[in-house]
Amino acid sequence: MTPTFARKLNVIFLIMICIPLIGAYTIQFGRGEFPCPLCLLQRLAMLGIACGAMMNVRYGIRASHYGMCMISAVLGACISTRQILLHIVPEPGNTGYGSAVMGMHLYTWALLIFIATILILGVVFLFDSQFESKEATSKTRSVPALGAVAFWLAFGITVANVCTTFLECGFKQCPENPTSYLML
Amino acid sequence: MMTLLFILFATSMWLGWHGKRKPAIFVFLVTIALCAFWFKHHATSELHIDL
Repeated sequence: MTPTFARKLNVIFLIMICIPLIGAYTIQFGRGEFPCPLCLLQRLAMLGIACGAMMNVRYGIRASHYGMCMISAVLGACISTRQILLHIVPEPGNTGYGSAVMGMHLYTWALLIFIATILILGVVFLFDSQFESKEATSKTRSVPALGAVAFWLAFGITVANVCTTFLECGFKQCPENPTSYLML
Repeated sequence: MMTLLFILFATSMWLGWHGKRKPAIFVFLVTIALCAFWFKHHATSELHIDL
């Protein structure tokens, strides 16, 4: 795998990790469901993965950039596992947080995404030829148009989350079961 | 707090995109540490499972 090809794969990966974040917004505004604190932390972990992929696109392929993705994916997997365990035994009145999408709740989908990310990173690590020297990756380099689109998409989603999280939680700790936007 | 975490990730992305690689990684690591702390803060209720 050449460094150029690996950068292209990171552009695709950056776009793909944005898809569940857009999906979460679709549920939030389409169905009027409010994200809980653990849901927001899972979004943050996905944005952490996006950060690592973005660094690979901007500077070139480095193991440290993949490390950023790996740390975020493991943290996200821990958070989503915790949320699955909270609802693993359905009780009357406790059938999980939010509505299911294609048979599974969003936190279950999130765990699958984090596990898939770890697996993909493991496979990508098998290709030594993609890695470049520190000198070669110390400065920014030109990014293809699709790479720029991917960055602005990820950055836009992050800024949108800043706004909606502030509207939902304000300056206080986010409620465990939010039912309205505190700032509206 | 949660809003601050999103702001920090936005800052990390912005710094990384504009040539500040090391500060971007530093902000990223601080944010991850804060996320882990905040996760522990929210994971308080007892799980009804037998491990």
